Amino acid sequence: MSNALLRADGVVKTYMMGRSPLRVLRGVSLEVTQGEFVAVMGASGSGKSTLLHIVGGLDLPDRGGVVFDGQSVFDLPRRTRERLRNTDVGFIFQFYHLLPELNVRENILLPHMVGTSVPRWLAQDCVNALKRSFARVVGTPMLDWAIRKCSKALNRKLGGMVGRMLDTLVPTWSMAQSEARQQTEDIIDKVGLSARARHRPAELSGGERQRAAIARAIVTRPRLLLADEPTGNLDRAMGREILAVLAKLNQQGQTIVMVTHDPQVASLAHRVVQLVDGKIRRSAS
Amino acid sequence: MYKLFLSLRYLRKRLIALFAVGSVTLCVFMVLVVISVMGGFLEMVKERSRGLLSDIVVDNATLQGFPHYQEFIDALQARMPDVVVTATPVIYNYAILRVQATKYTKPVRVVGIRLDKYEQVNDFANSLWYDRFYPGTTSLGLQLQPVAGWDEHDNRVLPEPFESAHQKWRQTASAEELAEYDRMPYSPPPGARVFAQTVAPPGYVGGDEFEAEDLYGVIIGCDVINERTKTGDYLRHYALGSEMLLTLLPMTREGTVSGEGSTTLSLRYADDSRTRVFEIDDLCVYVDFDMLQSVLAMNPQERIDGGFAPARASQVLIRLAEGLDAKEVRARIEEFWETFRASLDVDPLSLETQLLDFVSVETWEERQVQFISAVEKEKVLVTILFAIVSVVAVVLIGCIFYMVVEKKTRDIGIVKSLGASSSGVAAIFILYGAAVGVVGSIIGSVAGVFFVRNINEIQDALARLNPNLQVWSPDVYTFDRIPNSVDPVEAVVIVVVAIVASMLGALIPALLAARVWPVDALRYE
Repeated sequence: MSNALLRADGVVKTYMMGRSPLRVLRGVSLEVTQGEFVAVMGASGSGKSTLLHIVGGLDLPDRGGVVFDGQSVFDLPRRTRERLRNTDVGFIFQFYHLLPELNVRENILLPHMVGTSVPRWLAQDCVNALKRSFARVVGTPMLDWAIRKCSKALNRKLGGMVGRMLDTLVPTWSMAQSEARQQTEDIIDKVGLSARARHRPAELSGGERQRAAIARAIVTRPRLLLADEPTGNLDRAMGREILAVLAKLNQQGQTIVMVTHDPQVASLAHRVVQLVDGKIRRSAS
Repeated sequence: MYKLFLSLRYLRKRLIALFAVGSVTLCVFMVLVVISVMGGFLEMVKERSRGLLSDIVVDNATLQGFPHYQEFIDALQARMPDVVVTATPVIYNYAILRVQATKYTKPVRVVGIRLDKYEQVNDFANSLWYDRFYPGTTSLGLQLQPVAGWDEHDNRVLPEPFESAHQKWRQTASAEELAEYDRMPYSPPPGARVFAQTVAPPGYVGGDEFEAEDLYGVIIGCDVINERTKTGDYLRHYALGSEMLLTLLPMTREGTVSGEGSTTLSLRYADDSRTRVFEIDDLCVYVDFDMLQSVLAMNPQERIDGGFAPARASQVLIRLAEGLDAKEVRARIEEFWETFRASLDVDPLSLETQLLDFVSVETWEERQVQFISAVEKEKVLVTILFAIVSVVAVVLIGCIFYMVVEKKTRDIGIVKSLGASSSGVAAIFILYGAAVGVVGSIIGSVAGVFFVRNINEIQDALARLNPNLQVWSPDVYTFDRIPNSVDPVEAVVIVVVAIVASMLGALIPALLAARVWPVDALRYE
């Protein structure tokens, strides 16, 4: 296929289990086109997650390569690879992997923070300050909206303890009116977590945690979404809920590679790839 | 952005960080208190040493003193008029002080001074108690005892010149000084300022009375005869002008006790001096130079061969013009002394020659070098000791951060999967260390400054609870109060070092965190 977004070529990966080598991937090749929803199936230990980590740049193959949007991922400089992970690839993990000290909003905002430097946040702040000033001068309804928003944010931010101010004022307040913040709010709304935005992961159900993890994965609008058993830790109802979110994202053009061992989950995908003993046995649409 | 955000969040959310903050706080507090007290002690030593001596001291370190001092002063002032502001001779000797009224006795060091000149070469004027409230009344010359009387409104009135000097002082004194004066207990003794009084009926108009006999004045070290209260004030048991007896042993030029034996002087208590150096305030009394010189037979004496032995003094104190380098001027004065010494027509085998040979020229700092350098070394030593103790805090922070990194391994994987770099992950923990350092050093320095500023009050409070907790005794520590000033530069250096040390403590765990491979971290349970 000429319009492949992702291509894995003969990926080999071996782990050392004590002194004996364990070959997990034995020359896996895979192509994913833009907008495709691919499910990678296989038994436990067949190398599904390892393949996902390698195509996402989290792990290195022993042999073979991964090409993302025409660029050989492992030939890229380290910084570029990290940027690619930040902006072009989103990960969803089976165990959510949310930071327990951050609330839902902060967890979802984290990729933006990772990808943005302090000067850029400050620059965004300045732009927003100018916008507010402009609104004041022209007296548009935007003025009321901005003041309401600011006062709400101030009350929320300054109402707590000094310690709360310390760690929220600097980063969170500075981005209060930024585009990233707005984008985050939109996504929180989209995954139905508006009411839970100030809650910490420990206060959420499994489904809510996974929705938060999905929101975090898509907040930077990545071109590729990698999901590792996204429903593996959820009951059937919650699993369906998550799959519905993924299906909707795919309908909106999101490319998704999902690892699962559940055929019912895999049936949602356009194409199912069977991984058996580190090799692709079958690829069916 | 995320580095600052996560490090601050970990600081607040991880309870273990409080232990690291606590150890930094304690170290900063400890080092700040030690450096401030030792530094303050050193500064007080230097300040008082300079204030009690003069810029340059010419001395021969013997009780006999050295001759031709006045010729030297005159020649020096003529040769270096732009350098030497003033110079004055001083005599040192030892005596027994006896309070005539109570028969209280005490060994003292007698300092013979020309008061007006002595006040010009050092800060002695600022140490005088009565002269502060009755400016210009303190004198070492012949004087009577001032006796307070009463005016027609039954107000206490002092004899002239005390009354008018005091009224003049009141016009220039600040409200605080006036309040302090009015608060102090007056006669009858003991009080903070004590005058003899007439026993007179109400309505008696006095205040112009003096006791009959003229006696030379003596300024007495504050701790020699007065009682120090727990609040640091003094109770004066003897009225100004009380008679004091001073028994001296005049010495010959050869350094033997004069054949005439001891001499007892009757003197009037003219003032007391509080230099705040306990060793001086508890030992020294000050009398008129010329009178003491005469009593000690250090004035020109007729020799058996018909000639005259020149007058002698123990020391010459020299005040230099402002802004001069005392060490550089000392070399010039030393050179001048050698020239002057060579120009004297003295028999090389005579005793005068020997006394002149002992003369040395020193700056006030060189004069006190043993004491000052001892205190300086003590300060460095104590600082090093406490810095070594502080290394424990760095190790503790290292351990705490190692535990934090262990616990946060999965978080490291998550952050890396979101695109964070290894250096970014290391920065999270280094910033975390810096945050611990900033918070700990701010708390420690605020507590340290508060403690140092109130160290005397804290000690007094402890001593009230249990007298054994009086750790700073004026008998032991030269100064009667614990130094309580904080050098802002030293405080800033301590804070910066604490922050850097905290970052260093976090460095190794941070580097370990940076090396974590994201996939391994995500698998970590």
